[in-house]
Amino acid sequence: MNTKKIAVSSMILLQGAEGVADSRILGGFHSMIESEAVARARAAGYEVYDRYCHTGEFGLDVIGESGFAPALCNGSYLPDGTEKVLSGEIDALLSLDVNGSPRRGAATAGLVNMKPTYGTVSRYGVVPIASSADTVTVTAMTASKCSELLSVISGRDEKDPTTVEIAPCNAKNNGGNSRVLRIGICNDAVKTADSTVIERYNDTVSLLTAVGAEIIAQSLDIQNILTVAHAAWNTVLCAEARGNLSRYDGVRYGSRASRYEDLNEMYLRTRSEGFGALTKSVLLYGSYALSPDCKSGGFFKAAQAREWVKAQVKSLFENTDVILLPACSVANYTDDVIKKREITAFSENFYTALPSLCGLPTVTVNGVQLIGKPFSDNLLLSVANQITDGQASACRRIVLPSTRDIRLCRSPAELRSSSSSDGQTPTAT
Amino acid sequence: MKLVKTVKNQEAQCKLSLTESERESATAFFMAREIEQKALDTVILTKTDGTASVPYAALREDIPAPKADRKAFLDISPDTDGAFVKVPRTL
Repeated sequence: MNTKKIAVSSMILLQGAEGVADSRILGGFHSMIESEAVARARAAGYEVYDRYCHTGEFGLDVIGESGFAPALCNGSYLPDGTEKVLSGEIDALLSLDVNGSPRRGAATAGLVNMKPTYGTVSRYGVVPIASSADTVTVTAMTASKCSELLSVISGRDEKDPTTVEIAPCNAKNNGGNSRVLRIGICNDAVKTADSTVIERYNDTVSLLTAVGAEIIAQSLDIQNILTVAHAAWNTVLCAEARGNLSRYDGVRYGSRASRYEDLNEMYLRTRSEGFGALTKSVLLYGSYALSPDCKSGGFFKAAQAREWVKAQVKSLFENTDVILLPACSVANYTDDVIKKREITAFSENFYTALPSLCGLPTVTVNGVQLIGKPFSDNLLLSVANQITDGQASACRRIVLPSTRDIRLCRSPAELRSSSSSDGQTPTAT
Repeated sequence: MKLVKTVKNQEAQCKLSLTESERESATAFFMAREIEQKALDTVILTKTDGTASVPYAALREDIPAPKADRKAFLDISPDTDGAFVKVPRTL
């Protein structure tokens, strides 16, 4: 019998493994516990890769580029772990969706990623960043493999009170939906994306039409909803990260500064040396958004905008079952995006912000996102299954990268010099 | 300049010390988020009783802003009912 193998990103704890959260501040930390998702996968017979896949510092990056040297494949940098899925070395990759990087990574690599409804998979044993939105996701070659792993790891967990009991995930089970599937699209929503992304979006619309779905053009202003959701999400993420990352102070675990005169200086040096530039920007803005000095409204305003977005999305789902959106604004992540991650990480999440903000289930397939109502995970997996297994021959499929084209974006010498000056976790070369 | 000062103020709150390049990067980050916040001004918010649409700042008019009227804020004491404290009205 073939044993199924999975790999785990560094935001999901593995007992004893090094490199948690790809951050220098957790250098030397080895977890004594294992996350519930990994424990359930092991109990179901999955073999777990014993080293983390890099996810970038606290999962805030575009595709995790701060934690390792991404390989360039067919013109795009790919996240760590995707080449293992593409080559068949592992069956699936478990990641924590903090800022949408697993979805973007799956879109650029041509894989399927399933981000289930918030509360479906236990967050016990993950590194918390935005606790109201962090979701354990699965990336695999097909929707069937995603649903196999999800059916094992999802469900109520007494150690995480935000989890709920749900029916097992099954890509063949469309949730008892016997009528024609209604897919909501909005051409306004893809205006800001590049031409390749628009082509993939249109290809997916054609595929869905070929499998018998009804395409409904949305009359609500989806572009406005996305803009408000993006702004609200960035503030909520920064504010929640500010709270969750305040625990890293060098006292009980992780790394500690080597020279300090008093407790305050120990905190200052430890945190300054331990966090990277993007994480510091996130912390500072989160602190500002939570303070009374924030004249623009900050977290309070973002939380209310979140409720407005949820109401708008509820209206959208009154006449549609699934909403189709791109996953990225560019088809390929090149040096321009990766090396300016302090700016691009929070602009590239424009399309991934809405599902994160509202806790909606999302499947990324064919380079686009299919977003469903809460707890419609089975329906989404079923639609993705039909797209990947039964696509029409006239539609172009994303070309899978060839391993011959792999080139590291930075040389080992550059990696060593950047890790010592940026305060980032040194990567293995 | 104002954003640079804001970034420096928040450094102390977060127990962080930034290099010049990190501070520039953080200032650019702040600027981008402040521009995005303007999109939230388009959101219309209503009171919980649905009577009228009001700006978000007016929704907590029953509790004075701490910085504006600190003494009034500290003078608020919860209603008691014998040995029990009455739960204050919230949104």
